[in-house]
Amino acid sequence: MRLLPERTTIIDPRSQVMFEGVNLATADDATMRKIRGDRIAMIFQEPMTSLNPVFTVGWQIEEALKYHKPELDRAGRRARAVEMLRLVEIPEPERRRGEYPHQLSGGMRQRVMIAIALCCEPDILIADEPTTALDVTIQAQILALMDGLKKRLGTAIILITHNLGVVAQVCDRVMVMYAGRVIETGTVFDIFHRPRHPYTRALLDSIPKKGRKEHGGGGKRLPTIEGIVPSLFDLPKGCRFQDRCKFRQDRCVAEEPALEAVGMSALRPDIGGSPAKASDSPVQVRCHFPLPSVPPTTP
Amino acid sequence: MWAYVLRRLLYSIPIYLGIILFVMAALRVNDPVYAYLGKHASREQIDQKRKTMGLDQPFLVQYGKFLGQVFTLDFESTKSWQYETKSVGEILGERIGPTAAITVPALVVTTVVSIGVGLIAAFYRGRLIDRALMVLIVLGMSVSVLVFIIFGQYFGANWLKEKHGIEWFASGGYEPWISWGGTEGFRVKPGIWVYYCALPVLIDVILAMGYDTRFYRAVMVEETGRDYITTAVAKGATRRKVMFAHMLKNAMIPIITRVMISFPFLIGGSILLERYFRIPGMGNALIDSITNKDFPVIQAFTAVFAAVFVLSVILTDVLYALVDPRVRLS
Ligand code: SF4
Repeated sequence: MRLLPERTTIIDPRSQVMFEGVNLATADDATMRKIRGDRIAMIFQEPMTSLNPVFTVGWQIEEALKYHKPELDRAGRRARAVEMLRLVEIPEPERRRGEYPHQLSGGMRQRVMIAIALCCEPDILIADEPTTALDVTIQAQILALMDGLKKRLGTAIILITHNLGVVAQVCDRVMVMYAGRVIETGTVFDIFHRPRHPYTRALLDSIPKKGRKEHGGGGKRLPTIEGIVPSLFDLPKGCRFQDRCKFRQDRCVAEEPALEAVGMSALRPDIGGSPAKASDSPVQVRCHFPLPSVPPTTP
Repeated sequence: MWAYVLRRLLYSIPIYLGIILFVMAALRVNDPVYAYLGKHASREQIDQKRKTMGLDQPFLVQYGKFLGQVFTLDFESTKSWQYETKSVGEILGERIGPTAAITVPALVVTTVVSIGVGLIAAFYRGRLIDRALMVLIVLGMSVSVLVFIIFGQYFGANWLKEKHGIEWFASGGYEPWISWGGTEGFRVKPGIWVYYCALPVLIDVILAMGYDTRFYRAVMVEETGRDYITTAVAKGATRRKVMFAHMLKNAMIPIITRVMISFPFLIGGSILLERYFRIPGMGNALIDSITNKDFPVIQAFTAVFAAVFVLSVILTDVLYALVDPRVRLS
């Protein structure tokens, strides 16, 4: 989306972010403006500060319409704003339209953000940790809402999150990132049931599970990943996970592995066992020594 | 809202009473009559003067009388000491005009230009344009006002006139540029205003811009980092829309605060500028009355100035509520 200040942001000149044949990494301002909000919309982590406090929520929805739907007149925009507020299940949308962000709760504000993002019916919605700042119950509501709208409006959602539970619940495909690199990608089923990258595996092992004794009371401690993420200014030469990897060998230090397909995605029992095509969702892993394709053994 | 204003007015009455009490007491520490008439004055003269001002009465009575005059806006009944024929009210009345002719345009221009420059500098912060603007601004602010006055009078008035025959600016003096009543009716003569007031206004703007621009720049820099600015960009807003709608409206609170601080000086005027450009405004009058120990005028000026100050604080709060929906007056 190129939202970060240009002066402090470095985009590798070789990188490409392709959207309908346009490279967003190098597109000019006018092109970006047409895409932002209209074709690709975004919601953020902090609903408390993401809305402008001195404008009504209606104004802020209508603003996006003003930029991208010039055919709508004032009344049309107003009607659309109310419709959007109703769509994101805000009670009394007519009244709420004239209210300011400080009069709404965090969950409500995130709903307004979703309304703003979706009012132009974008193709892609980027949700950057949309529920991290919310209570668990509100989290569930917002996720359910996004899931419903995804199906209704046909908007693809890119969900960025730390919360593996959320991933398991709502996602189709997963990309696991570590220190700025995609290290594994596959379907939700693949990632959760047969992780191939040591980091993914370690990550899954560190989730408390029902029936296990690690947390609460005696028993073993919850497994964690030793060490810390390397500083992005001082990355190791080889694999970025090397310092913390249990499976490290000499080759890992010498060269960084590429993201490579490691065999076909397995059958997907969650959607009736139809085999996924290899080109569709190959499991890709960035590791010299991917783990065998067996479910992690639960100790 | 009106209920709030009324309550604030009532609350500020004790503050104002305190200020007046302090001012009146301070002005009487050294006998004003003795100071005015000098040590060669006779007993009778002093007693006489003291009586006309009511200074022979107990302090509380004087306090009550003066408050009565202030709250009924009755400044006509007290005569000035240095101009025996003029009342304090007349002096105030004729001095406010020239002062406002300088301070109001100066404040407006300074604020508008500073906000603009601050916005631009904040937007391009760290780049050449930002640095260049800031250097210029600080330079303008660092040079003494006297240098500006001398250069302004020499080049703006004399040099233009002698060498080029252009007589746009005067090196001092003042004439009324708005007239009403009489045969002409209401009339504004902008030429006269430019002739007498443009130079002092310009100098005032250059001086004040240094502080204002850097302040507004800091405010705007803070604004550019806000989450809702990112949201606005993500919506597809243009740079201009982001700057003038989203940032400016949020920056209104610090802007109002800044402007309202200078508000009382709209009637107080700039003493130096009025002095050197021989503008018969409030600043000049205050200096005159102090040097001439014109006790009634000093006392009345201080009371008016304090009143404007107190009122401007209330006005500031009301303006806050107007621009920021989160501020509630209750
Ligand atoms: S490349 Fe080596 S160090 Fe990196 S994750 Fe794979 S095994 Fe571990």
